[in-house]
Amino acid sequence: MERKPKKEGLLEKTAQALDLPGEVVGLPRVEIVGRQELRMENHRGILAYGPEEILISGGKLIIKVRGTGLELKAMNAGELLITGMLLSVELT
Amino acid sequence: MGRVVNLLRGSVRLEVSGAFPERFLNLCAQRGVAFWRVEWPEEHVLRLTVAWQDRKGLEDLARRTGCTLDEAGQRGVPPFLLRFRKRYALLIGLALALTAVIVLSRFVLVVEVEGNETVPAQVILTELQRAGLRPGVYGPGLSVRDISNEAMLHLDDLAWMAVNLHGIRAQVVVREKVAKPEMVDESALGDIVAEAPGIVTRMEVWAGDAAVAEGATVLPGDVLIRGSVKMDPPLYSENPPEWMPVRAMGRVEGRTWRTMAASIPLEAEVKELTGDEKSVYSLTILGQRVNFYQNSGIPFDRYDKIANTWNLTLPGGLVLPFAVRRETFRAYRAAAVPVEEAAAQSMLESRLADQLLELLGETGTVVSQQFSAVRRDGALTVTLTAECREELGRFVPAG
Repeated sequence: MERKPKKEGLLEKTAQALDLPGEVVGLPRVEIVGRQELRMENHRGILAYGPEEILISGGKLIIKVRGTGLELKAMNAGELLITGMLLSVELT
Repeated sequence: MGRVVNLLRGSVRLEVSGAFPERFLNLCAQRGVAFWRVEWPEEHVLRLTVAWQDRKGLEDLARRTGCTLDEAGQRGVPPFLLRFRKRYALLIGLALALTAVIVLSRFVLVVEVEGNETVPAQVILTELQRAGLRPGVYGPGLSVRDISNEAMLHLDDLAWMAVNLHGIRAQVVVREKVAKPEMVDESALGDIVAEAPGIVTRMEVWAGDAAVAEGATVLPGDVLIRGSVKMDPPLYSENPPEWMPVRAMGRVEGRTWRTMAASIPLEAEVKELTGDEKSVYSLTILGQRVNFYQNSGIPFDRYDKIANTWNLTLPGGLVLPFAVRRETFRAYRAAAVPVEEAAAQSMLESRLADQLLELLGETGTVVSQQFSAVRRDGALTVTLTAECREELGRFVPAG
């Protein structure tokens, strides 16, 4: 558990030093299409799930998606798709 | 489209209960198990749908995340088919049906004859059966050329025959011979004589010499056109005239008077059913008859036999060589009943009129006719007297 943040820190630094996109080195990437769709790459799993709030682990950060009628439409080891009426996305 | 695919590949609705059901979800995502319709009805309960093929191994995942996994329902084709897994009779029936389709398609079940107009199809089928083509015979073992050649040897009225095998159906295409026109043998010499008594109304001589004139009365056997032509000698010659024999040809029409009679008993014997009857059944499979009545006799002296046959017919009218036949024997006794005189007279008149038309042929006509009926010795006799116009002459060879 102690090595993982170091690794991500290193990844972020590497990306900045080499001027590479963050998702290439494994950093989470969140993409919102209108108010109905949210895509995320390089997630670390779902932490909580409900029609009004979904918490997704992004490694060092947690993405809190709020809305109404939220639904986890598709998910695999690296990507997920959330649909519903999106109200806010919060990073903690 | 996605719904159709899911329906075809099948899906399972799962309910995951535990302290952290989201861990189960994450593990599924890591393992590449596709899921949809995720619901979180309670804090510690998660419902999701996975593909039918991914359901194995999920219990292990649930155990690793400290959750319990329950199946809430199944949908799609694979779970539907799996219901029949233990229905052995159905599976055996399905296997037998498939076997029957595969095996029976190798046999000829139907023989169809096409192209015949005057030769009955049954006659052709009988000859084909003798040659080896009949319902129930093994199709690949047939030599259709030999069969058609052999059948043609016995069918003189056919000019051509082809046998085509189409699976269970043997199509027999035939062409009939064109009938040879009737040839008049002009080498035969002779006269035209009267066939019936009458008065000659019209003479048309094509060959020979007229022996009678129009208006003459002739009797049967009288020569109407003589089959010899008189050849006069040259002028001033002393030779006698000569007669050259020819075949007399021509038409001689005349008026004739025909009389015909027919009678019928005024008391007829009719069948009176006694009410006793017996039915026997038989089964015909691929041309082989199976009797269910063995050799049981018929316990009636006089009986009517009524046969009903039910053939197995496919939709579309294709008759298969499987049939059930019922033969019903109905006992009767003979009873004498009086014949209705008016009906009997009408029937006899009708028959006599038909006989007269047949006698006159296509060239003759009826000018007038009248009937008279007499009741004598328990019978009704009807007499037809008719005046006709018809061909009087008939060729008779000399000699």
